Amino acid sequence: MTVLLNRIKARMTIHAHRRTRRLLDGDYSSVFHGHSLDFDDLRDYIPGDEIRDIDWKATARHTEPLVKRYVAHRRHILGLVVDTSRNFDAVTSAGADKRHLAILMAGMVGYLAVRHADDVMLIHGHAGHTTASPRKGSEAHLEHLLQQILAETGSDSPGSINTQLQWITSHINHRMLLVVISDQAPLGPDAEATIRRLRAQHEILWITITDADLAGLPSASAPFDVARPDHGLPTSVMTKPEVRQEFALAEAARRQQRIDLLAKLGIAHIEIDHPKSALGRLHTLLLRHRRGPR
Amino acid sequence: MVLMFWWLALILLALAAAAVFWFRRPKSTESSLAVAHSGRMTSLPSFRRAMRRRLVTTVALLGVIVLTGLSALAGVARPAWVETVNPERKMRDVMLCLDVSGSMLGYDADLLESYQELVDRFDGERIGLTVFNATAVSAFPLTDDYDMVQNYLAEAEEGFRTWGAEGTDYSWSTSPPNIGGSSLIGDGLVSCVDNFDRQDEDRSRSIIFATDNMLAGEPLFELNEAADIAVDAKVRVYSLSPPSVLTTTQTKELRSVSDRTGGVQFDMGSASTIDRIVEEIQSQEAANTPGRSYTIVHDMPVVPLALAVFGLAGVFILAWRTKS
Repeated sequence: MTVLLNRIKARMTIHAHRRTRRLLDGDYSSVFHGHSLDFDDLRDYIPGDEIRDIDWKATARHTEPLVKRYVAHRRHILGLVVDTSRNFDAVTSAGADKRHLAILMAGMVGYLAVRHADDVMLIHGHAGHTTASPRKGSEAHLEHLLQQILAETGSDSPGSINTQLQWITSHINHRMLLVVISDQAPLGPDAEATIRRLRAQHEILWITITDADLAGLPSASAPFDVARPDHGLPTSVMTKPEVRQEFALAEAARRQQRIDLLAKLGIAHIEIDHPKSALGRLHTLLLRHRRGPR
Repeated sequence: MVLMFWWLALILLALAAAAVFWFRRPKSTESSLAVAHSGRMTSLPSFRRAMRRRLVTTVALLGVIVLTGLSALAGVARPAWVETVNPERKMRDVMLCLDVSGSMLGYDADLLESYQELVDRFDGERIGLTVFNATAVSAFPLTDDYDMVQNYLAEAEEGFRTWGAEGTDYSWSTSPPNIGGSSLIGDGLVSCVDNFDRQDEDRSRSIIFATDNMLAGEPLFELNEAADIAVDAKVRVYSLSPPSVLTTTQTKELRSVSDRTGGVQFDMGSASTIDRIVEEIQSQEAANTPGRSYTIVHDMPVVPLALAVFGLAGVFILAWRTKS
């Protein structure tokens, strides 16, 4: 019964040629920069890095501080942090299903981890509750985790990724690679503080699933908010030029705020709106993380 | 103001309500698209403004539609002003018959003043004035144009007060030189009876006969003969004579004429005379002319139908504005 994972594996093998897949494997193996004795390479200093990792000699020859990276040897843990609230029973800006896209992204990263003999755990939930799975390294376990995300379909609870992040700060005390799958809900000061706190302990990668462009919906789509299923949204009003313009400005500002925030905290970040770009975006994400966010 | 076809309006209203109920658009949830975080849109000031504007437009459109519908229904219900006309009063003719002979000249101005008061009390009756001395002159024929009547009476009164210097002088025209004598009472009464028109209609006719009955000359008709003619013509004669201790015989004669024709004899001068005359005439006539009242319906469709037309134009304009 590995329905979801098989589909994801098929997508990774059929739609991506071997080179890309090998590339992804390579991306992943270099993601985890735990502390080991084997020196790997140098990269630019990011606020939050440990001072003892700074390579002072290299820094002296360079204009900016550089930190050492080491090849990790131990068994890593991948933590999939997924918002599984009702907000994910909606569509992305490209019209795809947000929950299935989240499952796809989680499945791809999880599969890479399983292939590297790492453990995978899932931390998911909504604004009021967080559920965490045990960590295991089997494909069956990963499939089970993906099924859990799917099982939350039809939830009527509002979402807040900050709740899951808070849970991690208070419950997890070992080092993990966290892949956060969230949507365009704004990240406030609370979330920023939590992420900053987590960043000191964990490697964090952030995947934003973009929400529908409310100003561009055709009237035939009869849109409604998942929070208020009985009330339609007035497309005739939402597509008025002045509304559309203000919405575009507000969206751009919010998006920039998110990108700036995550960049400031040194977290690799991608936005994704459709399954067909999943592999490419994942590659970009891993690459950004290896190079350090800039 | 009544609605003649109110039941039709009610039926149409019920039909309209049923049509709205059956043809309202079902709240479709098919092919609906779930989106998240609509607060991104709904918190925008421009969105709120646009929603408020849409609400106002919708309410206005609804109001105009309802008003238009109600106006159209009101028009369909045939609003009308229903008037019940009592024809009885219109069937009355009152001839004022005034003796302008020399013996009466002193009283005529006052008599005409009394006539004006009399006319004020009438409503719907036709009034005529005939003056007579040696011959009779129709000052104005029977009419219900009270303004004109008042004008003529005022002018005649003016004429008698100023001895013909101002206003209308009737003394000269009623005593032509080719007719001998004056104060031909019987001739005057016959002339007055003769001045009633519409002989084929069954109307109530009365004469207010103001004279002192001081005959001077050879009349064609004696007063008694004139009274016979009046009785034949079914004309009641209310006589009005100046009070005088010297003329008791004449006054008695007048009373007998009035009695024979079914009228009453009054002495002029007492303040209540006018009231009594009006009362007498109106009570008598009311009994004599059985009224057949009928109803006139004045349709008044202009206001509701004009409202409906303008409302329809408003609906189109608003609908076009909402669409664009």
